[in-house]
Amino acid sequence: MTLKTSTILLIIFLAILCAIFSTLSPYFLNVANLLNILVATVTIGILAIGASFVIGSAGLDLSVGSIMALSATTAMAIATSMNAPWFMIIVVCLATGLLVGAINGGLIGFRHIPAFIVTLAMLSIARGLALLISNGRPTYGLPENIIFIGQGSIFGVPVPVLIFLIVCLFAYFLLSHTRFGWHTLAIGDNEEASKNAGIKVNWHKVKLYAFSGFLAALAGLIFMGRVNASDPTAGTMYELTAITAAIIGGTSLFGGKASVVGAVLGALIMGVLQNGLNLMSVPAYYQQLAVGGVLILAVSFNSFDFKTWWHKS
Amino acid sequence: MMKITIFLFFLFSSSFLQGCSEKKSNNIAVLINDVSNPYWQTFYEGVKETAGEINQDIDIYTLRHAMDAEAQLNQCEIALLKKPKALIFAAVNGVNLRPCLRKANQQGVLLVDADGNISQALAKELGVSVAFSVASNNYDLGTYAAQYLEGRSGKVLVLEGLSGSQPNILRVKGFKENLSDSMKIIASQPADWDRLKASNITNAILSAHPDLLAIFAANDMMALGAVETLRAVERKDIIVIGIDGVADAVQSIERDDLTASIAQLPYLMGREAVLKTDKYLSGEEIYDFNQYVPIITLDKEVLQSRDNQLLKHLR
Repeated sequence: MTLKTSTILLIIFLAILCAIFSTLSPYFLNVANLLNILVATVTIGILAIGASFVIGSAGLDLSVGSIMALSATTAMAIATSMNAPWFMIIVVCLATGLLVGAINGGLIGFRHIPAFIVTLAMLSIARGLALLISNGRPTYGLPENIIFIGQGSIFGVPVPVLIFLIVCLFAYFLLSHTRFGWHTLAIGDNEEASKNAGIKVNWHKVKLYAFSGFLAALAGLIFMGRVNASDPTAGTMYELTAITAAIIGGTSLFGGKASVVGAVLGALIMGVLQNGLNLMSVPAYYQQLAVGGVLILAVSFNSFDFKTWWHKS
Repeated sequence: MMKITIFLFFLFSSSFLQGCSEKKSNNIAVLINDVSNPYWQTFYEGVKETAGEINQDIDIYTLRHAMDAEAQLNQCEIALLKKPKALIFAAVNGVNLRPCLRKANQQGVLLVDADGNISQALAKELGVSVAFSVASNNYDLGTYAAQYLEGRSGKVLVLEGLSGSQPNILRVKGFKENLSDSMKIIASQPADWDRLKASNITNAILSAHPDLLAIFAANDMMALGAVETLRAVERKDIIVIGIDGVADAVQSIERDDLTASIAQLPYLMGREAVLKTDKYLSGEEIYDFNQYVPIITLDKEVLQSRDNQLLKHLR
């Protein structure tokens, strides 16, 4: 893995952020707190990886937060009504996300409706279904195995973090070492040219959005395990945080450029910021300001042309 | 550009430095729901002002979006890092904080429920030990509404909240069990806390029972929905009673539309939660799990006379 300048700049930015918070709060560098940050970053991190693929193809998926909630509530409804075993909950949860994502992709790829509109509609539909299925209330009482996914740890490392790590490695490999990854970026770069080059663009979009939906469902599964309940309001507004993280990470809004490492760093920056502000008990309204400010700072820092500046001064 | 970025960065960070350097030890941590909701905003003020009065160091955590279960769990974990003596929590739902509350128990942190999201039975089920709960007595809210109708006789319609919701069950139970025998409940239907549904049900019942005397709604939203219908059919003679005492309801009472609302006092709830936790920490015993916050019946007379002591807690 070669480190790009933008990645190095992101790491520096993250380090500065950490340095500031560690001088402001004695609790920040606690091992327990660092683990807190990692665990709290997992859901957004997984969604951000999905977002970097989709945005890298010059698309957009606004429905991931709702898919999170829908997959979890569907799985929970089946588990409680049919008394299904724990692995069925996982299968149903992930399959729901995959299916809803594929529907998104089908409408975008074959019906040629803009991704923004399709996924905006799905944001509303999936949320509505989740509320319908669950009667608008969280259902609690999951099997221990599911709770383990959200709350357990192996050799002191929380299970959500392990899952996240696997997803990161898999996504990194997928983006930079497989045909799937290359095609994604090629379509983002120039859809017409990709079509002429023989890429089945419509099918690729189905696969792409299904992948995004699958990741959202995985995030939903971890969320469900963490709070020991399927919550129909889970993940509200998460899509925007995920897109923010992907953009901070250097994924181009115009497509053709994406970075898994960047998305993970972006999610970490958001996680560290949230954690630090909470540690200092900054009221929620100021936190909103800070998150927006850091987005602008991080992107301007990230896109900064270091070489030109160096030669000029 | 770089220099400007660096400059901005330090400007940005120094503004935080100022805000946060004063706090030293944090004895009590408080988790509150979304403060863009007036109910929680008032609760927040109650906590903050009381903490200032008794000179107690308090860390308050508020949510950016309503019902963000995961964010609240993260805040709870962060709060525990600072090793508080007590944690007051108004949980987003009954279960989201479970892992963190268990951890708090292990650390010996005193747990206090605010707003009654975790009952004694639920705490037991979750394997969490909560010292006490500061909340309104939902059964009493219903009882007060029934008492407001005492000495009258006639037909009454009950608009219930979402079925299965604990506050709804208790409010309706309190109302039905304390209603005088001269009153007859002709219908008790769920309107799911919803203004429009309440309005529609009222309309339907009213055409079947034009001699309706009163309507009891398990929250103000539904009461206001009923009021809309009554205004449209010009039946302002019918008594409408709601629960909660939200600002809209108070205004409606002042306009002579809504007859009464049995008000909860979130300011007082925040205040009592802090005071009782402080007392408990300094060794005073609290025996009852349920520490009920006073409630108050609001109608035009009460609002105009202003001599009820509790009115000062109404925001």
